[in-house]
This record gives sequence, C-alpha cells and structure tokens, in this order.
Amino acid sequence: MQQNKYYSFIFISIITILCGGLLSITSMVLHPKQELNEIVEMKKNILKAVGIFNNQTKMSQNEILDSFDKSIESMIVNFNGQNVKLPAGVTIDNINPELEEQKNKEQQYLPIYILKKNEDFEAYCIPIFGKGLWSTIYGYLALEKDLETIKGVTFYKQGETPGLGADIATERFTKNFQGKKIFDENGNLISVKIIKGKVGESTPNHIHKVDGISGATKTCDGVNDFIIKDLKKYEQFLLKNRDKS
Amino acid sequence: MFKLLQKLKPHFEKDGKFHLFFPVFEMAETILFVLPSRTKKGAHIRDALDMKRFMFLVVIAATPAFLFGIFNVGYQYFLAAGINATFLDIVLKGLFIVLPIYITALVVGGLWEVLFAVVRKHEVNEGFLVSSFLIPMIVPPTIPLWQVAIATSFGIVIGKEVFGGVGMNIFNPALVSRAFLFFAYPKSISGDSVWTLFPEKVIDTYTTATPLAIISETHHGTVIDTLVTKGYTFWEMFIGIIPGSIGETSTLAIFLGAIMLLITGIASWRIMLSVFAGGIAISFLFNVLSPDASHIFAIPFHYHLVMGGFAFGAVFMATDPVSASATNTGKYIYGFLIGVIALLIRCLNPAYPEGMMLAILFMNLFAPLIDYFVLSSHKKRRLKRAAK
Amino acid sequence: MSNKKILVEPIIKNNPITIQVLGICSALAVTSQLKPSIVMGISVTVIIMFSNIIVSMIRQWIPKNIRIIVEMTVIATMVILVDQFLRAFMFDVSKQLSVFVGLIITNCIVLGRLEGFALHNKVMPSLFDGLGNGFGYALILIIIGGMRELFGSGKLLGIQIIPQWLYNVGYVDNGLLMLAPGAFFLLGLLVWLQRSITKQYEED
Repeated sequence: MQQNKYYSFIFISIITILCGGLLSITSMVLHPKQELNEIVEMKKNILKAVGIFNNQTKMSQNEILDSFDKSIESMIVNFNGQNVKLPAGVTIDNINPELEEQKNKEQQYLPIYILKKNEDFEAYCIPIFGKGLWSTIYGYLALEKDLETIKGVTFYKQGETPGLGADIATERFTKNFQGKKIFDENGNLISVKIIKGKVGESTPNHIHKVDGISGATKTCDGVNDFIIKDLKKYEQFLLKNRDKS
Repeated sequence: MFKLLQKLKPHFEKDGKFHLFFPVFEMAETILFVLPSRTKKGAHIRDALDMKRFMFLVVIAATPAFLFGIFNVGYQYFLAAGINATFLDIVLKGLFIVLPIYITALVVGGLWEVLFAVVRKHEVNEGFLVSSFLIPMIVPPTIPLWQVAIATSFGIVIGKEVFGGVGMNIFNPALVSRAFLFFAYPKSISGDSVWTLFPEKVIDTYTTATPLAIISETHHGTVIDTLVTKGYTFWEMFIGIIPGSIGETSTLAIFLGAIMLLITGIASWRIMLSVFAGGIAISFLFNVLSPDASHIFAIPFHYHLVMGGFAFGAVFMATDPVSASATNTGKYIYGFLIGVIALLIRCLNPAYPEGMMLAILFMNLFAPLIDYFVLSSHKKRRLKRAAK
Repeated sequence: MSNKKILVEPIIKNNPITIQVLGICSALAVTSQLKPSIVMGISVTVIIMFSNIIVSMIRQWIPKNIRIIVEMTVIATMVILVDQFLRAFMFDVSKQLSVFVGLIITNCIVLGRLEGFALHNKVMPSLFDGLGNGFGYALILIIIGGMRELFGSGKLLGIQIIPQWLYNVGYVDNGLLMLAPGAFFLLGLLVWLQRSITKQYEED
C-alpha cells in the first residue's frame, strides 16, 4: 500500500475537490427550490392565521403563492407606526422578527401582512414569538379590520409538553381566540389573557379572556406574555389606523 | 384444605403433569399455610425476617392511610355534590370508587408476576401485593381503570421484571407506575382542577385546585392566607380532608403507619428521619431566600410536610429496602437528598408541582453509587487505622 | 458469504440497532411519527449503500494512514446531498428531521460498515451489505415510529386510525410515547424480545 505522504496529500485533495464540486453543483441547482419552500411555508402560516387556509385545505405550492399574492399585501412599519422602506436588496421575506427584536426600538423593521378583499383591508397579520415553558413558540396573530378584534391565531413551531402545552397548536385551542378584543373600553392596548378553565358570559371581562388548557398554565402564561410583547411593538400603528377606520 | 393441597402437590412437582404451574401452586400453599407460622417469630430480628412477612407488615402499615383514603374519596364526592350523607353512605361510595382501582392493580400485577414466575420457573413472589396495594393510594380517584391497568403493567414489567424480579429492581415499581401515568396521561394525573370525583350534571362548575396548584399560582397576600381562603388550613391538610391522591392526603394516617413500620423495624428510621430533615432544611433556606410573603418560597416547613405526597413518599416509598441505600451512612445521605430534591422540584419547577415521586426515583438511581462511596471511604479509613 | 446472506443477515440476526446497539440517538429522536421514521430509514439506507459503493471502488488507492478522513469525507458528502434533496423535495419531513439528517454523519453504523466491510470487499457485496444494514436500521425505526404514532397520537402517516368512539368512551393517547424516553422503552423492549427469542446474550 502506498504510504508516501505526498501521495496521501494528493489523494485527499482529489477526493475533497470531487466531493466539494459535487456538493456545490447540487447546492446551486437546488437552492432556489429550497428557498421557495421556506417562503411558501411562511406564507402558508400567514394564510392560516387570517383564516384562508386550514389543515384540511389541500393547495399546491403555486396555489398558495397565487392566493397569497392575490389577497395579501405586506408592508413594513417602524415603532412609531410609520411606513418605512426597506434598504435595497432586502425584501420582506428576509426579515427575521427574532433578529429585529434585538435592535434598538427605532431601527426595528416590523412586518405587517394585510388581507385585502376588493381593495378593502380585511385583516392585519403580525408575527408573534416567545418563550413558553420549554421552547420558543412561533406563530402569527391576525386582527380584523377594526384592528381590535382577533381574527385568528396560529402557532406553527413549538416544543411544549406533548398532550398539555403542545395542544396550543391545535385548532381546538386557537379558535378560542377568535372574536376577542385587544383594546379595553378606554382604548388602551391590554391584549388578551388566557385564563385557567373555561370562559363564560359571567366571567368578568370575558371579551379579553381566552379558554386555557388544563395543566398547561405555564405555557399559556408564556403565550400571554409574548402576545402583549409583540402587540406593544405595533401599538402606535394600531392606534393610528384605528382612528382612521 | 391442607390435606387437599398435599394431595395435589405431586401433580405439580417435577414429573407431575402440571409442573409448569408449580409456582402458582407454591404461592397458594405458602400464602395459606407458611405465613401464620412465621408471624410468631421475633419482629425485630432482621435475619429471621421472611420476605412474605415483611411484605405483609408493609401492607398492614399502609392500611390506615388506605382506609382513610376510602373515606375521604367518598367525603369529597358528597361535598362536591352538595349532599349531606351519612357515614355509611360516604364509606360505601368510597369503597365503590377505590376498590375497583385496587382490584385492577391487584389482578394485573398478579397476572404479570405469575406469567414471569412460570416463564422463569421461580416461585411467585408476593412483592406485587405491596405494589398493588400502594398503587391505588398514589393515584387520584378519578383515574380510569384501564390506565391503572397499563400503569401497573409498566411498573411491574419495566420497574421490576426487566431487572430480574423482586429484590433486583433499582426503582420502586409503584413509583414507576405513577411516573408512567404522570408522563403518559398527564391530563388524568395533573392539572389545575383535578382529583375530586364529582357527579356530572349535578354541578357543572365545581372545580377545586390542589394546594400545590394554588401556591404555584399565588401572586398577592401571603401564601398561607391564600391557602386558607381557598379552604386549606394546616390542620385540614394534616388530617387529610382535602382532595388529592387516594392515600396521600392524610398525614395523620400516614404517621400511624410510620410508627408501626418503625416499631416493627421494617422501615429504616434513618431514611425516614433524614427525608424530613432534608425537607425542613431546604424549606428554611427557601424562607430566607424568599423575596416576599406571597412567593412559593415563603411556605413554612410544616406546610411542606403535609402537602402533596411528601409524607407518603417519605414513609412508604423512600424506605423500600430494595431500592434504597443499604449502608447506614448511605441512608442518611439518600434520605436527606430525597427531601431536598423533592422540595427543589416542587418550588423551582413550575411544571411539576409534585416533586416527591421524581425525587425518590432519582435517588433510587443513585442509591448504589452512594453505597459504593460510603463503602470505599470505610475501607480507606480501615486501611489507615490498620497501617498505624 | 453469498450476497443473499450479506443482505439478509443484518436485517434481523445481526441488526445494527437491536444487536449491535448502534445509531440509537436518531432512532430515539426522529421516531415520534411514522413518516419521518420511514424517510430517515431510507436516507440512512441510501447513505450507507452509496458510501459503501464509493469506498469499495476506491479501496485499493486509499492510503492507510488517512483512510478514516477519506471515509468521513465520503459520508459527509452523501449526507449533505441527501439533506439538500430532502430540503428541496420533501420540505415538511426535512423540517421534522431537522438536524438529525446532518447527524447521520456521526451515525456509527455508516462508518462501521465502511471500516468493517467496504474497505476489504468488492463493490457488489458492499452494495448488498449497505442495503442490508440500511434495511435493518429502517425496520427498527419503522416499528418504533409506527407504534409511537399509533399509540401516541392515534394516527398512522397522519391518518386517524384509532376511531373517535374510542376517545368518546375515555381512551386517551399515551403522552409518554411522544417523548424520547418512550422510544427508549420501546427500543429496550424490542431488544429484550429479540434476545429472549434468539437466546443471544452479550455476557456469554
């Protein structure tokens, strides 16, 4: 067997170049497709939050993109609720809300997805995320056009306790958010609160309360905390546009 | 009866046609006849202690808590229903709820034991009688029977048989069952408003939080005040008139059992004492660290001892000689750490308000290691002395 | 050894998971549902098979002193290829598998087969050896994945199997099986079952 060190060196160089080349070509060929997948995934979750898409809907990637382009208009606002333009080369699809949060308040880009129907604004959708009990939970929250009533909520990524906290991702739980209000009578942003047990007509402030999951109090506390945290970022935007409508 | 068994015996022995079922026969024979003859021997002489007698005494010691559990289940039921019931009604109702759970655990546990005895050709060991007696005591009365059956199977098979049967297990089988329920069917064993079996449709809105669930929720006022306003005073929790696992609520009844275990020398007083010592020590530490009077850290130690499964675990679970440390120094360390870890989990981990079960299982795992270190330090000391 | 024997032996008799106890990590991590288990099983099979073939083809030229590095390069290339393909064409599953596809690089089964077999054997036997070991691995993953999904969430491949009336009378899905320790218990029971049938014990 060849034990010459030059031979070893040449041999491993050839192997590395061959493997590296193969991987580069594959990556180049497949990358657009992979990126498309990521974007479709994100758009699908937004469509879910605004109620166009649910687990039973069967849609191909193109249909999802079409439906998103047709019905959703996205925009970026800043902390003061003003529209901002993104720097050249950056699109809204590249905005990572988690990274934005680490910036100064004034420099954050806050994406909003707006559902349109015949040129009318139907719903507003914002990304929400934060710590539950064990994991970071990611989701979207959609508001009706009055910017006060919740249209829908979806959690698409979480690692909570199976059978308890993980149930936040089920439609059985998320439909409890529908119709709840995030502003109180005086126009203050108070968000909604998941409580223990069922919400009935007799529950005080039941319009701001959501049915909880028994045994998953800590997960629900986390969800409460990050929903208000994310709504606060958009507070100025919400207040401005509420007055208009 | 004795004659009948003697007559049948040849059939089960080596060349008999029912040789395969010899363990079953053996079990029947020893339960019926050997046991009474052994009870006459001295109780505190450890060498003379027969395994069967040992098991028998544990069951007797657990009986007060078991009987109280039956009463309490019935009592809570009628309390929730808002019906004034006589003592007899209460006990009958309790029996009606608890007995099926016990019978399920007993039958399922027995089946597995017999199955393994037949396959492995050893005698049926009565260890399952203790496990089957303890399992109903550490589950809530609302538990579905099929879950009891699965949990018992899991406890006996994974907790005991995989290690080679009674005496070789490193975990307490009853606790393994409980842990299984806790992780597999969390909805039936944890949650905020559990553990009172109440008649449906009589009252829809009746929910009670367990004391542990309440304190992990408290935000204002002192913890004690909160507990009292929710209806849990120290003495109620001590006597056990509260909703909870069937046999765990009454610290009083558990103490009766503890006294009996200690007098007969079945359970190690070192372990029992050091579990309580560990619990008390860590709750003092928490009291000092507590930011304000409403925090979970502020609970005084005597409340910790009567809440949840702490007392039950300390008396009946931690002292299981098979899974505990065997050396005397080891027993102190083992017990102390159980007390400490139980309260650490209870106070620091919001997801698992009941830490006793996890603490004991955890320390079961470390018991052989503790023994190892204790023994090797003994050896070192001896060697030093010998060298002088 | 005949090719057929090389192919069949690792599936049951010398199973890489239950007998050699290799590749446990991914067997626990990805098996909470059947679909990712199947995809993972296929991925590992493809990776072992092609790595085996490549290393077997170049075995005469590989310098002894750097053979592990060469093997790792080949495995890493295959793993990344598979990962890229999954991301492009099976996005849902690749999201569920997340890092565990990448971690196949560290799966001892793959390197073990290269070191133990492909380095000393011709291409065809290496192909069958890779296929056999891959199937053995996939078989265990599919058994565990199927049981976990069926009893943990009442479904198979996302289709509800356990009927609604059973839930109505009080049946509850087993949450323990959705946690990694649940897979650990199942795996242990499988090993126990197989060894008590074959009477093959490590200690003997």
